[in-house]
Amino acid sequence: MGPPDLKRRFEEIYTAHYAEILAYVRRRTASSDDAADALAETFTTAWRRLDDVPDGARARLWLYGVARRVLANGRRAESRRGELVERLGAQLALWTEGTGPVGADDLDGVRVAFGRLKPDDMEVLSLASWEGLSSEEIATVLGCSRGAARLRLHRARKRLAGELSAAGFDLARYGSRAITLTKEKA
Amino acid sequence: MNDVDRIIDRLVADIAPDPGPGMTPLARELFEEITRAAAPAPPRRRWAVMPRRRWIAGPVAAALTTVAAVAVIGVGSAPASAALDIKRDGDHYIITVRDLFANPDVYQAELRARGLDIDLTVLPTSASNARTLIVINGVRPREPGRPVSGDVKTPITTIDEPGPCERFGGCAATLKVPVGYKEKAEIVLGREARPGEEYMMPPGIDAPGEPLHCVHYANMTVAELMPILRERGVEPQFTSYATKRFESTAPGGWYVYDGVMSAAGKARILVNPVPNPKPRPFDAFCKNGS
Repeated sequence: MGPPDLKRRFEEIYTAHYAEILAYVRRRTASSDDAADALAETFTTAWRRLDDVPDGARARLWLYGVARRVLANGRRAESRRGELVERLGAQLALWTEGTGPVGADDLDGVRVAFGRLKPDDMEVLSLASWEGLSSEEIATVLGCSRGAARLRLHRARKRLAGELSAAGFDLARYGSRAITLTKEKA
Repeated sequence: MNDVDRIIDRLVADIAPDPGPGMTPLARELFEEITRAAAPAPPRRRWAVMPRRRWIAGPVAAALTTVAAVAVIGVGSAPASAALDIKRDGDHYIITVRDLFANPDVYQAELRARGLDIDLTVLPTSASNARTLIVINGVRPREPGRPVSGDVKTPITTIDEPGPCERFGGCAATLKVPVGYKEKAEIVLGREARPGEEYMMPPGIDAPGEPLHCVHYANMTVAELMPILRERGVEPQFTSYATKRFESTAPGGWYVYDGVMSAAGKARILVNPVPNPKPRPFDAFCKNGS
């Protein structure tokens, strides 16, 4: 594969998954600068390791895995952020201002309960509900077995139900069997 | 998965933070930046040596506009006090730009005189976008890997104009800078363009006050968009990820991704052969949906 082919393949991957990876990093970072940085780092890694990127829909899962490691590593050196990434961060910050404040709804209780979970639980629930992944796909991103992913997801859901119940959040409002579950958990 | 699992998943989905603007022209620049490095060798980070370019307002604006260096309009000999109004209010400076056409060096001299390392640039833009004030702070608190929680506070703040604000970047008229602020910052301020002058801070084509405000133009075909533009007296130039240049026509069946006003009555429109799978939410600019 010559360089133009490589670039074309990367372009397909980039175009198909940019928005999803942006959403992934944005939702897991406190600052737009960090989001821009992680985004650039993730796709730079993909370009550098293009041969490792799987074909088709699995490319997205591979990219999530890279983004996850990038975020876990955190920022390594201030000097690594370039001018373009700075601009991207500024653009994202402006976008954030445009979307209005978080919490302009009645879900603060859910946010607080979610925030009390361990990072691993948060991540597995987020992958399921924010990225819409199945437990099989979550297993690919986390690099664990399908069974382990299912179990982690199940436990994380129960722990969130427990946190919500402890905070007095009326899960019953959302379904008749809600209370049963929180009792089972206890 | 039982009902409670579904409820939990739905609650978690409901608190999902905003996904962001999706693919923007700036994202396209990042693609070019990344692929400039030879694959699969480790990429060199070239951006550090790139010429400094101005960042322009709006998620789309940057790449749809020609981001040129700011022209120096005559060497200013006017007293610095003529350009900026700087008042001290307790531990802050309250700064208002008095002369929008002053030489940038004059602003600089005024700010430097107060020990502020702030670059102030005034750029031509549309009437409705004029006085848009953008602050790019040198520092921001960082907490990598933590979930989003509220706004990130920055040391330089802006004071909005009185009245309701529909503008994407806010409606700031005045800057508030801590006295003794040592970090570098960039401020970009919009002024109304002179007749025929190209906008260097191009507003979104659907921003409040612009020709396509509250028009559902995203993912329209070029053929559908053309009569609307004609009706509103807008002359388009088209570009696409594939062509990367501006042309006066585009295939009628291509889809509209985004657009900015590049001068009065002139627009730059980003189109592509396939529909945008994730267009920007319509209410990003049209809050009331009307």
